[in-house]
Amino acid sequence: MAAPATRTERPALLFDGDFLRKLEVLNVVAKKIFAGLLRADRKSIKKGSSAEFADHRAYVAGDDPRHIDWHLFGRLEEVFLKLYREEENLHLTVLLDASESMDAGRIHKLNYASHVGAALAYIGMSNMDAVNVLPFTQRLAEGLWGVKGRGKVFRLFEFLQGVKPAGVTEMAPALREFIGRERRRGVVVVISDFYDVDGFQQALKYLRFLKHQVFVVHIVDSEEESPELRGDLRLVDSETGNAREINVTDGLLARYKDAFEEHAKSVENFCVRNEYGYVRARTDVPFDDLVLGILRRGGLVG
Amino acid sequence: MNFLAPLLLGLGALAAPVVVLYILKVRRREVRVPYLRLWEQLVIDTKARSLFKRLKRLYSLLLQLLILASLVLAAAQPDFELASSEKESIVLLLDCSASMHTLEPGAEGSPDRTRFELMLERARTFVEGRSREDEMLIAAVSDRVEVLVPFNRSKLRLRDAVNRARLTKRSLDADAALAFAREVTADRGAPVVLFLSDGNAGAVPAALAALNTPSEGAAEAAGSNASPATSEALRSQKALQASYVAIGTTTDNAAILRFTARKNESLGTDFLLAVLVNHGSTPLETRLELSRDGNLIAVEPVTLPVGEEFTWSKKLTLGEGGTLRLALDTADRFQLDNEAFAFVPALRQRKIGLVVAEDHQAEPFLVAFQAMVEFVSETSFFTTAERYATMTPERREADVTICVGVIPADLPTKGNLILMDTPVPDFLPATELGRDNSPTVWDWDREHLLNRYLNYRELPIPPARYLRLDRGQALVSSFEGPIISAFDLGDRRAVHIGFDMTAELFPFRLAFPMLLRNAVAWFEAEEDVLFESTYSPGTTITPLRRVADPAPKATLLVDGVVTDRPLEVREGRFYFNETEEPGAYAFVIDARNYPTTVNLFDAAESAIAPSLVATEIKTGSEHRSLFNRDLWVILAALGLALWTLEWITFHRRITE
Repeated sequence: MAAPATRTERPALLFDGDFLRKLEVLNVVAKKIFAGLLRADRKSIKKGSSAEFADHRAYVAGDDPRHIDWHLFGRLEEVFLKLYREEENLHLTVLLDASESMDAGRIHKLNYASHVGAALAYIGMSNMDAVNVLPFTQRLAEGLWGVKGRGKVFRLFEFLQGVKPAGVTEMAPALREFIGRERRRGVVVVISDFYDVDGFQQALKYLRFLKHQVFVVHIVDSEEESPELRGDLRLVDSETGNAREINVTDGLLARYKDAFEEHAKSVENFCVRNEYGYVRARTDVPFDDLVLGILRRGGLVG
Repeated sequence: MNFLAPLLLGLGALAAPVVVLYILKVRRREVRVPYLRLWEQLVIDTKARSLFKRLKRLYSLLLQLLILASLVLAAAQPDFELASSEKESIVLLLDCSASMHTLEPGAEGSPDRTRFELMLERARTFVEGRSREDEMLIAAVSDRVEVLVPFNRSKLRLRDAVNRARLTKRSLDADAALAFAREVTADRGAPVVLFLSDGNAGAVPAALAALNTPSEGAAEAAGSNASPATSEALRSQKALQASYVAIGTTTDNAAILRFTARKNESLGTDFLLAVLVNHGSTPLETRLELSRDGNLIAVEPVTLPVGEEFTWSKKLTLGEGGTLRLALDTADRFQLDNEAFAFVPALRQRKIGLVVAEDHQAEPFLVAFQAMVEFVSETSFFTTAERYATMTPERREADVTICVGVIPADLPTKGNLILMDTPVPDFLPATELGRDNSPTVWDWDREHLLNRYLNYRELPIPPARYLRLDRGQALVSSFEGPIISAFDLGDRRAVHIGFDMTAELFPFRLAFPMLLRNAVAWFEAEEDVLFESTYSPGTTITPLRRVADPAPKATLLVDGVVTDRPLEVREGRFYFNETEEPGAYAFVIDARNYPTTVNLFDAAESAIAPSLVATEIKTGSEHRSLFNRDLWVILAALGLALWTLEWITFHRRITE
């Protein structure tokens, strides 16, 4: 968590052959786990306008007269509407916290989050889902919208490599902007450290409006969890630049750890209460193990 | 409060860098954190204690400044000098005389140490064990008293004084030392004298006994060398507690107590005399080594009886003179008295001027001079009174001018005179009363140098002039009056012989060379003696009479090393005090060498067996306490403790 006041260079974000091999392994494992489930051509329970008939219902004023089943009207002389099973893709959105607070950690948090996000997106893309990868800070940044197919993976990588940590975390306006732009229901994975001064709760609540299946990946670095700080320090917030002089003693450190745990628990408890998937992603755990864990828990299965 | 090293107080300036370093130390390091709010919650909790923290910071700075102050004060060695009005006053007398050079066998495996070193160790024990209330004066004593530190309670000063004591090669004057102790404690309550010594052959215990019981007899015993005033003071004062601490155990020693060399000008021989002593328990068979100017010229075995003085003598002919060194070849534990020095003057040829009335009168003298070539210089001359008048004054100058039957005009103003059968000149304080045609010697001064080896009894003497002496000495007198007289005229000497010694040829040939040598010996007896033949170590040498040379110099020959020293003369005198080392010394005055020697001829110093007297000494160890230690040690310990406290509090995040 702690870093010298002088900003250090962010490590290069690598998507090399080794990374790709890991993604492939994850993809195969994912298919085994969710065989038959992770299909892009799943039929939605939502009645829609596809060609596959689903049911009839009585016509009520205001219904589109184009869907009236005139054959049935000829036989029964009652007006019924034809209902069709709507065919829809799984929309996977990866919301990636790209604020300044992610630019830290023994293992760089933003890089770690990018790897996790890339892995999930790749799995989604491999199954012909439409994948959105959207960085955010205090607003939604320009992201990748509706990417499909494994062939776009390098575009995904290139995009993620271009994401620079900057700005302050304000999840609420960013996620409100997201639900305003993406009206389709889907799986939303929020990857963040949840260091939002205004609170993360309201922001996550926005995702419920469209009944998205939400999965929260809480990035935690061991340096944040157990900072090795001692003595008279001037702590500077990496996002706001606010500073405070603090004497870090053993007692204070113990209380800090409690406070940090409380913060993490608050995120987890909120997710549990709202039936969101939640995983605490410690950066010292290899990202592929983390993703595998997420898949095994079925957090991404709709 | 004084400081033994006040300059080190300047280290107090280090307070400035301490403060700067402290400011640097407390300047906060900036650390970026991703979410300050977590920390801020905690700070709100601890805000209430911020004032206390500030105090704790100040406490840390104060601790550091206190540490610095403690260390600086400790380095400056603070010293409390209390008023000397307390009751108990201790005089610690340290025997620094020659006998303290004696080597004492060390304990098993440890090297031998001198008595002086052992004594200093004991002295330190007394200083350390001294009660804080006691004040102590420390003096180094030998033939004089040197106060190393006046009455003082500072252990630092006392310890420093002990360290400053220096061993000498001088004799010990125990009476003077104790008289000094008595005087300095006269106006003090409960005076205590501790005399650390090897006893000086019992002189110290005896003097202490006299000091402890100042009776008439004791005062006399103690004051044998003391001034009458001191003896009177001893009698009048109350007894003081005096203790003698015996140093050393060694007893065996052989020594040279005396060594002299005398030249017999009359015979041209040298006579050496030495007095030796053996303080061992068995007779000592050893050798005496005699060297002249560094060259061994004789080795003689001797057996020294136990406890008795042994006299050794030797007759030599050392015409050219030189420095003699007599060494006792024995490896005893006190070596200083195993060698002695003496000086033998060289035989010197004199210029003799012989003035006769007629040439034939010179014949007997010339025959005599031929037999005295080692004595009579080739520049000597004889002449008649007429020719003498034509000689230049420089030519006429002679060590001895002999006038036979005539007094020439223009006698030189310098040089000694032998006037034989001449009228009494005006410059002699005497009057010729007449001529004794058949003089009979009835008395002669047998002690006088001029009459040495001469026997006038039954001597046929020709008719002689007899005198009445206003001043002068009658050497040989007939019934009528002095017929041979000696005159000391201040700057010269004269001998008047009232008859012609050549008249009786046979006695003359025997007597005249002897008389001439005796006369010269007398002429030069006091002229040559400008210094004593030997001095004790540490003595200040000053010439016995005034010297004319404005810039004389001293030459020291000690341990084979020759060193020259210029001398400062004031009113014809100089004072030379670099005489600590036994050896040969010489003073060059008016281009002439005046040798002398420095020897330790002290029977008491050579009797090294320590006088063992049971004396109960208060060590004062029961008075020891923390505050009796040196303040600098306490300050240094305080600084260390404060530093430890600061270190602990800093690392426990108490004072940061």
